[in-house]
Amino acid sequence: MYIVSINSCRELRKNYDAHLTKFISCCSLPFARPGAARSTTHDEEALTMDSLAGAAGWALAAAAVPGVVGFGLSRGAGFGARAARMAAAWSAAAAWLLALGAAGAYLTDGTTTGTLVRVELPGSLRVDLGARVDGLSVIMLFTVTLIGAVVARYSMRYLDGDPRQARFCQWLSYTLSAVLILLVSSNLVLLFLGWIGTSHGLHRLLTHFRERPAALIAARKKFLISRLGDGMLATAFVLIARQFGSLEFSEILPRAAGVPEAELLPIGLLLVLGAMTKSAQFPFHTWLPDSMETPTPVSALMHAGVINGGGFLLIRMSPLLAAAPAALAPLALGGAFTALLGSVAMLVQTDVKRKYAYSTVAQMGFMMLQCGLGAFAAATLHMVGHAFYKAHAFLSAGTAVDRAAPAPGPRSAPRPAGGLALALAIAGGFALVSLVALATGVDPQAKPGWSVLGCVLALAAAQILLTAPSGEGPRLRALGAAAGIAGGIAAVYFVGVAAVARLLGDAVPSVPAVTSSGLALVLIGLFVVAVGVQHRLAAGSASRFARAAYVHLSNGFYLGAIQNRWVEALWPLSERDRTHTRGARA
Amino acid sequence: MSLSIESPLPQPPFEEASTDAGHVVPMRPGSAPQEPPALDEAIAGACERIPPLWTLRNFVAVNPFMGFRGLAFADAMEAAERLFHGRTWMPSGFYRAQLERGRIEPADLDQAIDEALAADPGAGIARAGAEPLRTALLADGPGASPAPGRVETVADALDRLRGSDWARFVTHEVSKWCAGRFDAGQAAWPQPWAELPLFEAWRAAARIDRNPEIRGLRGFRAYVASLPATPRDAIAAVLAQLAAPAAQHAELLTRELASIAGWAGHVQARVREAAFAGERDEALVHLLAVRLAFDGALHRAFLEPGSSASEPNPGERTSATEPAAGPSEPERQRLWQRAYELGYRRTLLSRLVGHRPAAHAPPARPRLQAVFCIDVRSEVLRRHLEAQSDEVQTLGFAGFFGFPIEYQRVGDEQGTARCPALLAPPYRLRERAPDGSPAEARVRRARSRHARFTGLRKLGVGTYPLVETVGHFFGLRLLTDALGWTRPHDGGALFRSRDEDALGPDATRRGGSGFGLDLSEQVHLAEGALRNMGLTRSFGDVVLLCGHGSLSTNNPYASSLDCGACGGHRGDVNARVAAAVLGSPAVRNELAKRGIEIPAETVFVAGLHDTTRDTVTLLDADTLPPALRRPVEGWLAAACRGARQERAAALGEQAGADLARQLQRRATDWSEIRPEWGLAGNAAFVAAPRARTRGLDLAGRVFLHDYDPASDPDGDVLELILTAPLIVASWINLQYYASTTDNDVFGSGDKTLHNVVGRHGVVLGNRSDLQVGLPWQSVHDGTDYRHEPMRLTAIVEAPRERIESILGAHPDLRETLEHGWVHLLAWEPDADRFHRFLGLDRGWEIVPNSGDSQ
Repeated sequence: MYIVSINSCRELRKNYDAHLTKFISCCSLPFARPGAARSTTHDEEALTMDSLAGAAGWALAAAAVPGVVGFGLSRGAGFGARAARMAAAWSAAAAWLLALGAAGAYLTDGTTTGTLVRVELPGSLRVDLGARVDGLSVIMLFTVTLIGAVVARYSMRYLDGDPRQARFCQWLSYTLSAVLILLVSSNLVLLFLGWIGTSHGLHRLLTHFRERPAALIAARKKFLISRLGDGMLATAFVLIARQFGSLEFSEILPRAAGVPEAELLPIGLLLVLGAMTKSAQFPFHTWLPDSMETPTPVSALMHAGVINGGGFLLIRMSPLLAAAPAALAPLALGGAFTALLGSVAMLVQTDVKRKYAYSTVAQMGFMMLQCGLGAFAAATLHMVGHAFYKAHAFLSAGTAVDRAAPAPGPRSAPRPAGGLALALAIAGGFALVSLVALATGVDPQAKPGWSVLGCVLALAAAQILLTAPSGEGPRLRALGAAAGIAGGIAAVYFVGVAAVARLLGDAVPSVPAVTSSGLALVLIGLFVVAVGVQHRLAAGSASRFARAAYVHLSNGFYLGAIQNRWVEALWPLSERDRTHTRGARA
Repeated sequence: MSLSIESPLPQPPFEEASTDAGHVVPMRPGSAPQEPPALDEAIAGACERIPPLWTLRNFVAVNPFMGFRGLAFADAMEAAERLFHGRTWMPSGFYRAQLERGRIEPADLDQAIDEALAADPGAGIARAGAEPLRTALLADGPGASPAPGRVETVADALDRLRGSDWARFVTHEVSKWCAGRFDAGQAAWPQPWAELPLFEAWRAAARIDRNPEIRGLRGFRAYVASLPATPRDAIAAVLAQLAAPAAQHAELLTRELASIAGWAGHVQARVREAAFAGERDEALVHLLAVRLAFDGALHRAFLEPGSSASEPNPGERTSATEPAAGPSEPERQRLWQRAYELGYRRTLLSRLVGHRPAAHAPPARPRLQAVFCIDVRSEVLRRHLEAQSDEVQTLGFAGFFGFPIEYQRVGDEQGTARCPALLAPPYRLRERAPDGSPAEARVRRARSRHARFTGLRKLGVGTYPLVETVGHFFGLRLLTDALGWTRPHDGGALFRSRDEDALGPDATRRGGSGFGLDLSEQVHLAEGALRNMGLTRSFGDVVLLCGHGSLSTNNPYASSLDCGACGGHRGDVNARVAAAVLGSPAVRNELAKRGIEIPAETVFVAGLHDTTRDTVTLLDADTLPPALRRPVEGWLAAACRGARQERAAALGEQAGADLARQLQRRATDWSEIRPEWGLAGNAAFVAAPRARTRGLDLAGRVFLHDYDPASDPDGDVLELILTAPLIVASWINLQYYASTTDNDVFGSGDKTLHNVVGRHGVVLGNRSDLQVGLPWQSVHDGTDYRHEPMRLTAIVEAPRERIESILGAHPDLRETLEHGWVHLLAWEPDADRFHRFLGLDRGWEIVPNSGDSQ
């Protein structure tokens, strides 16, 4: 059995205090201890406590501080609202600084693994509870700690006066720590604990307003879907452990390329499915648009931090997935379908938060598509960009009533683009993107998944060109400006992907997975159709099909409603759930 | 002045036939002779019960109980509880705690009991007598019975009987559809059927929507298809199906609309707007038919013969509990509430009576006359400003300064009303740059670029590369916003033209543009403004017209903190227009002919009081000679400092030198949930010369309107004050009242759950009805209520006969006062006496103790 035995658990607990003391002193001491032993993926003997002094120490400390201070200390000492929110905000800020430290150490030292505690398992397995610091974890650590710090700070004033603010801040810290542990973990066990902890903490945050039945139903839906994902992930990890005889990334990932694809395929598929539950992919996306029954900062953390768990898992396991390309094809298709569903459903949403939720579904779908195409660097870039954008979007959702913006009137109604204009714009988009590729010296053919991603970029450029005539001023100038924006975006994109690929280094497979041209064509077709559909439908088509599509889309094709009924049947609201009242208002 | 109005809520003329049959379904009473006209009355009655709800772009306070204004206050509250299912009093435990704190004194309670017994000696509670009543009030009551005689929809009744959740579901479904129908730019793909009348459009969508059936409402689409095509016929058909007795129709239909009060209110506001424009909009009747159709479908699916369930009778009140011995909970609450109000009145009156303004002889010619809005927040600043110098006078007047305009900014396609919601603005002005300046074109282009940039988010497929590129810059933005270096909606900062400040409202009529005011209009408005604010002589060197507005960030309810008299906008535009007009020599010439001599040296200047930060900015102040400007700015700065220190405690800020920065933080922090307290705490309205209250600390709780009874023998000015500012103040007062007594029903709930819908409103969480009223955070600080829910105490210094003759001419106003929605007191300062208005027939009553307390 590859489960932590009771004995080792006891041992772990016995050693816990000693380790914790050591660990905390580790956090507070200057980190870059000169001459400290550095462990590498190939140097197992060096996996000692000392190795924590390097980047791994920074990373583990970053992951632990919010949990230890913002949750553990705050809860243990029974902090009131003021103390608890200070603890959450400062520990998250400290995590961000520590993440910067980890990034600095990574830039000088390269990929490192450090172990906090080694747990021997029966069957010659061992778990090195520790951190793996490579390009991927550094990028994600930086992103999530920054967002976590901003969200925790935001919650200080935003929940001021809420009778449950202390509890809120504690679970916010807990959730943040869980995400960070997931990101920095050096092995499957710690990653799995982070994975479960994330969803556990999130469940507490989603039920902040426990007197709201809708909040309970949404949280329970999320809970059930998460358990489904846990099951898939656990199975995958058991299979991995059986296959590789190890739980350590440092031992599994380099050896993945040598394993026959048939052996890896079930693992790959399970990982893909597990990731799809976490990152809100069809048909598991339904919990996300229903998750607004909780204070806005939770949405920000969820859409910017937690939701990336699935994508991170796939990129972390990318060497393994690259060796099982057959598992990637369904991922690409599923991601593309989710992306299109989300982006079209987004168009009909009338409230800002639900619109953002479908936008996240779509963006995560696109990120999954990139993973499916083997474009892991692009997927990482996407995850980070989306996290920042969406965190900011949620935290500033109150500006949706923008009174400084021009008052809407009949003139601002969208005007449909004609077929010719659409065709011209698409042609222009392709030309523009090719031009920029030439100018930046990018060799598109060498980039994984380029055929599909390049087309999407060109289609986006086409859509930007189409917005040109709606502005004030001379047409040609507007067109020039639009072309400038589109070209600039393409350039930044190329440079960004190249930079991230460099930063990721050996975290992602160097040999890209090959996408079959048939699949690529299908995917490109999907996007072209989506653009066409969007232009025809959103322009107010009066066809019966368009009208029916509008109604069904605004209901998210009823998937959420159907699943709500299942949830209510499986886990009905009790009388107690219905009669919760808020302390302050009772 | 053309501001006097008969009815606070002019309704569209229902009896007129629709002339536009193409777009308005003919709903003319009598067009369906087979139906009794009683149904039309019931429908019209239900529609009238719904208060309008303005959008958050220009959120103005509304009396949430406006639809019940024909009733005595307590009866209105009883009706509102039955129909809206909200609490309209505080629980009696709340009041007893006030007694313990000394906020209510035993004498207040006695007085409340005496008043009640005197008003209605035959009432049930009166039989026992005052002393047992008092004992009963102090003891534990029977507790609030949750639903005494509530009127229920079918969904309500089903939920009560079966523990189901239909009421919420139906509200959400109607809300979902309305959000699409009334979307103002959120969805990139607008709802189809916009060209159809509301009911028809909903029917078309409902016949496609499978959501109700998935939720278990069998046969919903077929049922909708079977309904008559016109809303009136559909309402009649469903009522017939429900077999609700005709006598209950009016209440049932009201309850139907009350169950979707937010969207019904939104539609009501549109109906009102149409009525102002002389058009008739039947959308509220259509919405009623929509809501009723859900009840019909529920009835068909669950309650028709064949279903074994016991049949609830929709529209029927749930049985009221047997009256227990002693006063019932509502009776107790009524008495306690009155005692609570009397407690405040006692302290207020004793302060007014005891106050002897410093016997300074006001200078014949003050250096600064500052006119502020009557808004309660002005009181604090005015007091501090007057404290600076004897040469400073302040006046109180509605913050639009008598200029009811519609204002259109450069780049906007339509203007917005900058006047009290009671009025339709008769004048249109626009934003303009000085002649020949290229600023206007530049601003126009910059705003257009901004609109296009925000439009990029609607790209759909195009957003993927956008997120991967532009998205990263939001990382930096997160940091700067969190640290307070930038504000999130400055997305436009990139697009903000440096020329914005060169633009301003243009008061002059130019050519045939239809914008601006010609000379006679300017003179007319200027004269009205000066006469009504009582400023016709002894002009100062500088007359500051100081509007107010509030800076807050990331706050959907920002406009609720702005000037209600300017239609939920900042008051700078009106102040600038008024100052420009009053500064014009041509206008002054004409005014002189009409007996108002403004000295040539007098300078009118506009200002804006920022109520979050307590700062005053002078606008267009280049007309002000430096010798005048320096002292004025010095006084203003010192007064602002004083006002900030006074407000600090309520905001939980440390008073001290750093306060200005802390308040700046509140105004610009995107996570600030309580930027300021708005009008929380408002409790009284005083119309009297400022000399009566000058120097008196009224704690920012009083609307102060200047009124000099001596210079208004005909009562014209008083008539205006009682019919417009007093009514507006009472609306604000009752909005705060109801948002406090039941924030879930009459308020807009917890701000942390706010989710902006359609770019103009807010729903809670995933989905809910459009929210009405004020957020929980606007009335509660997390520990205690910041607002004390009390009806307005209006104190008017004027001869009682004058007041009576005005009330005689305005039946609506008379009703409001006689029915106890506002407590009116006539003040005789010379005798130190107050008279409480009982009714035109019942006369006045001397307020006990007020005359002999000094």
